[in-house]
Amino acid sequence: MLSEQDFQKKADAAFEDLKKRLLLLGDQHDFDVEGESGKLEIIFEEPDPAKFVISPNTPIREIWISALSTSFKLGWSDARNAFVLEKTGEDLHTVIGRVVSQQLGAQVKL
Amino acid sequence: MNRQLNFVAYLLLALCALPIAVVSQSVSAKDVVAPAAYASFDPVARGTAVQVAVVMKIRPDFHVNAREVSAEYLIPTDLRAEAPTGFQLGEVAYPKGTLRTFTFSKNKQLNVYTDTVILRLPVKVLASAPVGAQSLTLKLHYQACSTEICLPPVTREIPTTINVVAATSAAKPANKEFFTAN
Repeated sequence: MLSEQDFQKKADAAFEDLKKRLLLLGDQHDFDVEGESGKLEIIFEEPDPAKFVISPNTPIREIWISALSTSFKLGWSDARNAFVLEKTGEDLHTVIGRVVSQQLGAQVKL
Repeated sequence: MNRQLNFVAYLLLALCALPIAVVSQSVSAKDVVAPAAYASFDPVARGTAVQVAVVMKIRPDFHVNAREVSAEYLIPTDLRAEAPTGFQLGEVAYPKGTLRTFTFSKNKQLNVYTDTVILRLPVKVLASAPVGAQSLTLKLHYQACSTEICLPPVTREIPTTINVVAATSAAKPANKEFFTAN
């Protein structure tokens, strides 16, 4: 298990990178990205109002995503050097790309 | 001569205190407990109730004071929650602790939590609750101790999100392992 400090460092870097990519994508596809108290929120008005929440769960060293009425829990993979959803093997960008695409009804890539 | 004896006495004291000092400096109460929150439904429908289980995984060789403490000087485990509009919070249900004796408690039995314990918070999702991912703020306050020392108490924020849907038919039970009777 990663140390708390290591996890925070990796999660901060992943969130910063994700936020930059989402802000660019948000401009193209008309959704908002907000980040406060360590978590990221993606807010959609169209085609249907919805909110996705991405938050670090430091005590158990996971990143949790709530999107499309579902929770996704990603743990750190040393082999992949990324946060990965164990069930599918998808990394953070892939999971977010998938749920955002599904919400927008259009394929997007982060 | 007296000065030399004093110096030796101080040196011995310092050496005796060293292991405790090293433990207390190298271990924080944050490292001792890994808390996480799980909802009994994911997603949960408006107009229904959901339980949130706060699972405290406690490191071996450590314990946490239970909710009901057996000495005034001990700090009890305490869970506080704040919810956005559209939610009603119930009373937290704390598990019973186990009575244990420790070096520092001098034969007095203390009521403590060890291994894994689950606290439960009932939450009503009102018909007016907004649909989508809703964040609850949970703050867990606890004091962790080993068999020899107690660490300073800490308060930890536990991120919790409840996914709300409009239709009851879309609600799904989740995280069953934390909601079976114990």
